Amino acid sequence: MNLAQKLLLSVLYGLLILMVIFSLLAIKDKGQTGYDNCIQKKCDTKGQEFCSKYREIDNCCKGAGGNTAVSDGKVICVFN
Amino acid sequence: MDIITILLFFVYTWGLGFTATYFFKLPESKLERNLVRIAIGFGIFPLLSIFLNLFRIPLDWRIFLALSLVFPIIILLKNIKKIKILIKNIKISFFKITKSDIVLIIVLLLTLASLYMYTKGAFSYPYLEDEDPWGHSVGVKYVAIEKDAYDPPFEGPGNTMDKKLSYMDPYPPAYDVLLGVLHQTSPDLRWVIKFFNALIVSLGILFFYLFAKLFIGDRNKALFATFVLAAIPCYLSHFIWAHALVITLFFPAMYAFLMVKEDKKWAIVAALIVGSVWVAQNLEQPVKLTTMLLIYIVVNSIVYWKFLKYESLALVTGIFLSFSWWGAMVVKYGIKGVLNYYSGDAIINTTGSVITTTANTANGSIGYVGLIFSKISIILGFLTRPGGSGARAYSFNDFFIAQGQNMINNPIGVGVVLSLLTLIGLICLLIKYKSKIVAKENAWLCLSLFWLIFTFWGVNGATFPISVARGPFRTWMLLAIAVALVATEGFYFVKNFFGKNKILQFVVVGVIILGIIFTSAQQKYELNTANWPTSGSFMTAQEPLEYGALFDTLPVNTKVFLYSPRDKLVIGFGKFSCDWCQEVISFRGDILNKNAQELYSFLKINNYEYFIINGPMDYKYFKGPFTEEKTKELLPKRYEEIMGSGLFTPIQQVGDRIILFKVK
Repeated sequence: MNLAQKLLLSVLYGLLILMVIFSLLAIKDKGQTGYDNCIQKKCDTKGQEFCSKYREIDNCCKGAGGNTAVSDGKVICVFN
Repeated sequence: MDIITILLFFVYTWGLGFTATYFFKLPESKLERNLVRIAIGFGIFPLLSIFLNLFRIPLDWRIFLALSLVFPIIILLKNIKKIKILIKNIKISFFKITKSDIVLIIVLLLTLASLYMYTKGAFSYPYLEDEDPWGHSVGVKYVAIEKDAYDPPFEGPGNTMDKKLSYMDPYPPAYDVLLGVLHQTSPDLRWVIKFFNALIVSLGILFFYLFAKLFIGDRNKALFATFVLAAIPCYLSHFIWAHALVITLFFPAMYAFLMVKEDKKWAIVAALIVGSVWVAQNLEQPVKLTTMLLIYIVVNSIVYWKFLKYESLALVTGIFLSFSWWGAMVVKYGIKGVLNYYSGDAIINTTGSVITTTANTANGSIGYVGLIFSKISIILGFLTRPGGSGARAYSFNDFFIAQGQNMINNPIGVGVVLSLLTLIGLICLLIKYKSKIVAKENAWLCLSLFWLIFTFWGVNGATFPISVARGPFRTWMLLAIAVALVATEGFYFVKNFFGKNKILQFVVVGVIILGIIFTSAQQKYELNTANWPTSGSFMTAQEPLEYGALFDTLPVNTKVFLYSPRDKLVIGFGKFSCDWCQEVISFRGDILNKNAQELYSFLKINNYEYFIINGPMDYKYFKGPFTEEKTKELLPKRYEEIMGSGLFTPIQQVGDRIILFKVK
């Protein structure tokens, strides 16, 4: 095995390890906190109007493991 | 004419493929050789259409037919003496079906099963789904009639770029051109785009097999991988959009790249198909597919310890060839105009501020280096931005449990059994091969792992701290390709594990196949045969069906004018309204101020036979440009004028909203 192949192998292992770490870190993005953070991030970067859209709320909600529901005429995210 | 158009599609693709590969090495099997020709011809068609358009040659089906057949006919005439021998050989070889042919026939059956599923779903409702297909229908109609792929010059404010033909320019138009050329010989646009989109997606299954057989070097493994791709929900649905074309092009492209190893001349074909990829969809998928091709070149160059110069040259040349489109767009709109279209000011504005900053630095050389790095990082950031309408973080369940209710344009999910096979494949590859995973004999496995990493990372762009691909949810279809390859290895590990007991092995294989069918294919079938939602232009859930029934009472291509500025609905339902014509655009700009007589004159001059009003829809689309107050005042007045003028005969009424008039 030459140096380049060793390097390629290291990159392969390195990327796989990073993938696992990132996947594990993503667990903390679940639940109410994850949902709030997601909405906050959208509001900060694209404004209040954007982050109030149903589509964006739904994306954040599903991403945090919840389901959207309507309460008092407002779209909310519900977690089991 | 529909059967003729299907035949013509295969004549165009086969003829172009025959022409492009005549002097190159091809598979021994006659069936496979001809299927490869179809795949390659399909790969070349998009770039060819762009070149014809560049040289202002009309995009006419007769020109494509001539270009497809001229070389095969020359060859046929040249070998006319050998025809008798050839026919005799065909007769003999017809009965000689090899094992390879049997596998190919199974793949063809898988392709037909996919086509059945996709067409069943696409034709289960009379309308086009969501928004994109309606937009494409206008582009397809434009190409079919005008035989051109550049937008006409629009007059008036707001019409300087891309207001009417959103998938024509600067969005690369190859998908609309392909369907538009097919529409020229088949009058029902709705049938053409529904059927041929389903056919293109289904042909992807066949083309994947041709590529996988060459890539893996084992037809049985390739067959299993093809079955996985056909079954996996996150591969293409029958949604009508340019992604159906660009993703399908990847397989002929990879086939050509793999053939370069055996015959360098294949680099020419590879370059042509890369060019096609870059004119088939806006930058998002071409960038991702080029990244996958680049990974192929880098990994193989290292594994074989030999720089793949012909493949690299093909990649660069292909991108260069696509400037036959992009160059024309830069000439038409300017570099800023094109960048602005894709980035929404992001690149232009940020670059502007970087230039100012650089001008203020004391050390010019560091400033320019900084400028270059800034520009690269801005472009990379733009190309890998994890945004998009459906982009979100995905959880374990999103991958593991496939759902029948899903995203329609790009379904998500892999399924339980396929997820397990992929995990087994990944773990076993690393444990079994260890450092030998980067050895020559395992090149395809190593590459599959890198593709799996890239696409899985891409899908998780909204979850992971670093995004590697633009539009995470539109990366699922690429993940499906990598999963099909790695899961196949997982399947063979499991199969071989029970190798000593053939009965047990048979049972395990059966359980896995049934498991894939029940945890992936069934959900895919459910989604692809369900009634999909449609455009937000309609005012009620029932309305698209009502319009469908209404339009079905009129002959195809009848000129129908909607009072609302929704000409795309007329075109998508297979009728006609000239959405891109300046007189229609101008008239619509002031339509609420036109009385019934003026409306009638306009419709007669422009040969419209029917006219439709829809109270809620008209109000919705008039209140924006004409203000709410004026719409409330003028719209009822216009309705009264129309009804009382005697110039329009009411033909049908749906509820108290929609009225179809015959223009007298």
